[in-house]
Amino acid sequence: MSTPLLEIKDLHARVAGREILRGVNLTIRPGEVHSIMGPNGSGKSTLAQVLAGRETFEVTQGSITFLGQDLLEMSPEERALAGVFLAFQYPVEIPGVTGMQFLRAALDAQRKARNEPPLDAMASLKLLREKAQLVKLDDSLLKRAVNESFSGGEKKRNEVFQMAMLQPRLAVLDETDSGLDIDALRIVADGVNTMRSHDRGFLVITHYQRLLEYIVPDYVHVLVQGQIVKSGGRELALELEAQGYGWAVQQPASSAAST
Amino acid sequence: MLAREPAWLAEMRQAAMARFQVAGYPTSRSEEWRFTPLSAITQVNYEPASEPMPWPGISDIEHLLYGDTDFRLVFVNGHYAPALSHLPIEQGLEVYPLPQLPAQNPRLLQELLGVSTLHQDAFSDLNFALHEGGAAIVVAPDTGVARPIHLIYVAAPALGPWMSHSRNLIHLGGGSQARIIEHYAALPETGIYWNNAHTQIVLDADARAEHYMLVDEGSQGRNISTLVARLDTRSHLASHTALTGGLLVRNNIHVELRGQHADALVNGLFIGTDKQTLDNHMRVIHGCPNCDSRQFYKGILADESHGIFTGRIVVEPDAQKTDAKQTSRNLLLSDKARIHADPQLEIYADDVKCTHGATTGQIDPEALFYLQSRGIDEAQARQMLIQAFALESLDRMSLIPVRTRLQEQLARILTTIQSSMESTS
Repeated sequence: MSTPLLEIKDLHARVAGREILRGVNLTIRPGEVHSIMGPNGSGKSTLAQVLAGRETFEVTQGSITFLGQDLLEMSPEERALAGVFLAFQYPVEIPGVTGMQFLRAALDAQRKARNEPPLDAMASLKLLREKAQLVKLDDSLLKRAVNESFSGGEKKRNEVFQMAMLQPRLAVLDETDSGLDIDALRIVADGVNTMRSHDRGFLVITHYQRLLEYIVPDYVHVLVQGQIVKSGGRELALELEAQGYGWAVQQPASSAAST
Repeated sequence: MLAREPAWLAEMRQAAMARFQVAGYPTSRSEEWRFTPLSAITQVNYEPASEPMPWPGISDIEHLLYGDTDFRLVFVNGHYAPALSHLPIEQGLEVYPLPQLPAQNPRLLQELLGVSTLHQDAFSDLNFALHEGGAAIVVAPDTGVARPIHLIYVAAPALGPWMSHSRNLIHLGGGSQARIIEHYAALPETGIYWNNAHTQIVLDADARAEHYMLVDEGSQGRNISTLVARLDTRSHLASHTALTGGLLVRNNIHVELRGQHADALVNGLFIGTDKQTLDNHMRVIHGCPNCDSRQFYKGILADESHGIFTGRIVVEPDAQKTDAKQTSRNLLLSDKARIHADPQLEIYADDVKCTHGATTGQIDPEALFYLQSRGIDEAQARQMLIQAFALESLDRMSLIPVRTRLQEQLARILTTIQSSMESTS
């Protein structure tokens, strides 16, 4: 039995004095794709930010273990180097830092952590072009400042492109579908799907089930008011779509929220 | 002051000294010096710098040069160093170490010193009265000077506290082009000293000049520098300032647009650490219609340093169709770093476009987190963001060797900052 990638136990977290997560339990094993759905304010983004290590979100109770390590003791950069990747819901623009520079720095940090020599310029560029192709991202965009004047679709594709470059063990996608039209959605989903492997886990956070038709999850969890109230297989997403989130709260929590 | 000085020059010096003695040093009640702590200058007894002993050799200043064959005048503690200088003959270009000018070409000196501008303050009066070092640069009409002209004012260890007053007189004839680097730097172990410099640039019609003011004094160095520029019809000035070293540094830029369709770019960057005061005082006067001016200042302040920016745009009544823009952007890297930013507009014409804006902030925590979330450690991420902030200023400098050297310098400064930086919040 493989070590779980991620084990979240009784996680409580708050931001700006308000408690948002009220006891989340979740286990993700290598190769699994989990989805978290929930209404606005349920804590979906909070969960994503807590996993990435954003300090404004304070964990008040519970534990998160990643590949057996205490994730909460790790800085954001340590988590990234350990193999956690967050695709942001609202990727920020960074004037004055080009996409190229940013990626080189990230790749170099990763290779250093693995005691590998840095990639030379040619190898970097080759890798970059190959991965950019996966999400149909024009590599000229990388000569610009990070995300500067990128459309919503370009920003989301840039997140998936970075994920492809960094090859994480656990990828957390925070509402990667928000603001995307069907075509952009397909491109992003294709990119993610090419990265599915027995070794890698995904946590796909989404509001609408539409994305899950393209990135088909193994497990769906419903997060309401900071707690997972129901878990199931992919059909659960369709039921939610049909019945609404209110229905999920009323149902008894079905087969275990985690396996 | 100097041997064999013409009577008219001695008289001008006396008049300047008399003005200084009547007015005295500025105080904090003086509008132009409100935020500048001047005690580091006014409360210290400075003697005129004696000749350096021993004179530094070329290997001591190599790191300051931009190439073996660069066109340069080197002054050490204000004294002209012919052995370190390099003045190849170039058609249409006259360069004189100022101490030699009264003997070589007194008429030219008189002409250059006779240029009148609106700028006048106690430091420029004192500078006029006492100046010894400096350079005169005259570019003949329609001459393009390919190589930058590098004026290096090196501070070497000497009995102090010493002072040096230098005056640079630059004249570009009609249609000519030149680039000048005015550079203040210190060798290791300099003590307390004060450089008081005054540079004047006169651009005739269609002339184009780029001037770089690089002030990188020693940790106990004081520097007051003034650049006064007069622009004639269709002339263009790009003035770049980088203030990086010195305990107290005040740079004045005074640009007068006195011919139609002239334009000026004033591009300033200042990087403060420890307990430095970096004071930028900038004034652009639109005296004619149809002129453009752009003033961009960026300050990076760490530790307990103090940055000041005062930017005044004056649009005289006849200066219709003026287009003036000013921005001051400042980055504070610690709780104790401070910035005073004071944009000022005086507009007396009615058909003008004038915009100005000043912002002060800290490193964007979102951007910082984004970099960290990709495995880049916090210290490196901060450096990347600070370099990115400075980049806009550096990108405006067309002299790439200057730009590159400043970028490297910034990287070095950043690695030595001991700042009480706030953690990402």
